Amino acid sequence: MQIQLSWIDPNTGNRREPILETPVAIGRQFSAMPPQNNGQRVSRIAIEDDLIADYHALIDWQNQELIIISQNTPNGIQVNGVQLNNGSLDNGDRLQIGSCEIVVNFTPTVSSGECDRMVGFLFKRRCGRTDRIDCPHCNPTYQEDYAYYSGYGDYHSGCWGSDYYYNRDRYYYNPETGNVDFTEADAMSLENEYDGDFEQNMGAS
Amino acid sequence: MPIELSQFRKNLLYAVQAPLVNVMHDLQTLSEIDSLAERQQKKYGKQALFSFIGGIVLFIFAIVVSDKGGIAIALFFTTLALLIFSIYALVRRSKFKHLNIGNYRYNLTKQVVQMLARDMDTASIFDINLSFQAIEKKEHLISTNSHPHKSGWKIDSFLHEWLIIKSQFLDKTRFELRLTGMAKKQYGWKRGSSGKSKYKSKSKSGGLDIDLSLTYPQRRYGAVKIFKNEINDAIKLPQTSILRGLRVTEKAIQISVRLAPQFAEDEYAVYQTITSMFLSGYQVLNLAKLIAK
Repeated sequence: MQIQLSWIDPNTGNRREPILETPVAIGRQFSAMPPQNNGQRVSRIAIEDDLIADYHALIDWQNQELIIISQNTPNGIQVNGVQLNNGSLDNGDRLQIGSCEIVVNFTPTVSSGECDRMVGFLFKRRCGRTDRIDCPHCNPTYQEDYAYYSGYGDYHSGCWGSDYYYNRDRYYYNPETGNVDFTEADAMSLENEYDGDFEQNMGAS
Repeated sequence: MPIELSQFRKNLLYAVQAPLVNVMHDLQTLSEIDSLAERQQKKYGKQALFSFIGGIVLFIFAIVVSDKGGIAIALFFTTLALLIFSIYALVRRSKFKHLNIGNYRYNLTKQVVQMLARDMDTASIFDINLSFQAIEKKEHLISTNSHPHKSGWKIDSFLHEWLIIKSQFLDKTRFELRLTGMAKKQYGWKRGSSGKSKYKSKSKSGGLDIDLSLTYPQRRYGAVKIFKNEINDAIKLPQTSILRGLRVTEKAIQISVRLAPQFAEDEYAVYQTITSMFLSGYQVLNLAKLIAK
């Protein structure tokens, strides 16, 4: 299920309103949050705030209700001003995590008349306008825009960067040190691999 | 900031730090100044031509009727007046010549700025330096060498950085785009078959260099380093241009491209190249962002 979280970024002051698939992890360090939870891909939200733990909370849809689970952080979570560790969430609830107030909406606020296209020329972002009339960004077609660079934004097989794209979940980028490494999950998958399989995969006879 | 016409006439330079709306307004003003200058040049050119032709016709007519004293004198004076007016019109025409700037430069700037603004905040400030000076001017001379084949001849080389655009995208990546025109001029004395010496000069374009620098936020795009050595393959350019340099550091990507002389003033080819350079850079950065997540 999709939910929309809205908050003001404490560093930039910009409003953020992503629509995300549950489960959703919230924390300060992107890499500290799990990429998967019970076999489901986790949408990870990183908010740079000293009062937010590296992996602070998880929002998930369980037994037909949306719940929030604090990840044993000292600062905890407040839902509509009430301090708690775990709890269910209703549409429009306000979460206080660190210095950030996050509003939870079950139904995305993109109405039928609102443009939900991803716009931007060099990098994509949601349009968010209430109509498409005279919008300079909504109207050009992909072909018109990227006629000078066929396959722009495509990293699939045969395109530039396809190997990196397909293995993107295996990389771990540490913004503090600037190092890029394989993730722990990937290292574990290598550990679990039987020696025979490993040799076969390497093309040994 | 409104364009100071007297200042602009002196240095033919448009330099501004302003948001898109102001820049577009100024570029529109420049195009209006240019078209006014073109119209005035045409008008005074026609006046000079017609008054000159009229003067000649009247002069011939005055000779024909030279036996009729009074009429002939009147015709001679009218001829003189027309020739003086013709010279005056030519002088006026030459005054507007300076303001008749090349459409290509402001049209291209307008297109590029509009393209870049799509990924910028509307309040973001563009830092623009747009010069309309000719490339072959003394102040742009970088070297003078002897001609390799013609004795006594020399070759002057010129470099003129006529467009610089700097600003920042919404993703906090700062960009700097520089367009540098190149030209060569050979000159010297040539002896004709009759034995007379004539001073000759010949100019040709040396092409156009386009340099783009994208200084990106490391937190967002720092993973660029893992495909640092393969970035060359991500650069796609039109056939009119060639890649001259590519430098990737921890903080920036720098792409240098050269356009062949025949395309150096081709608005479409230059815009196509600039767009391709930005798209190539972001083909790399967008993948880095996917990995850095």
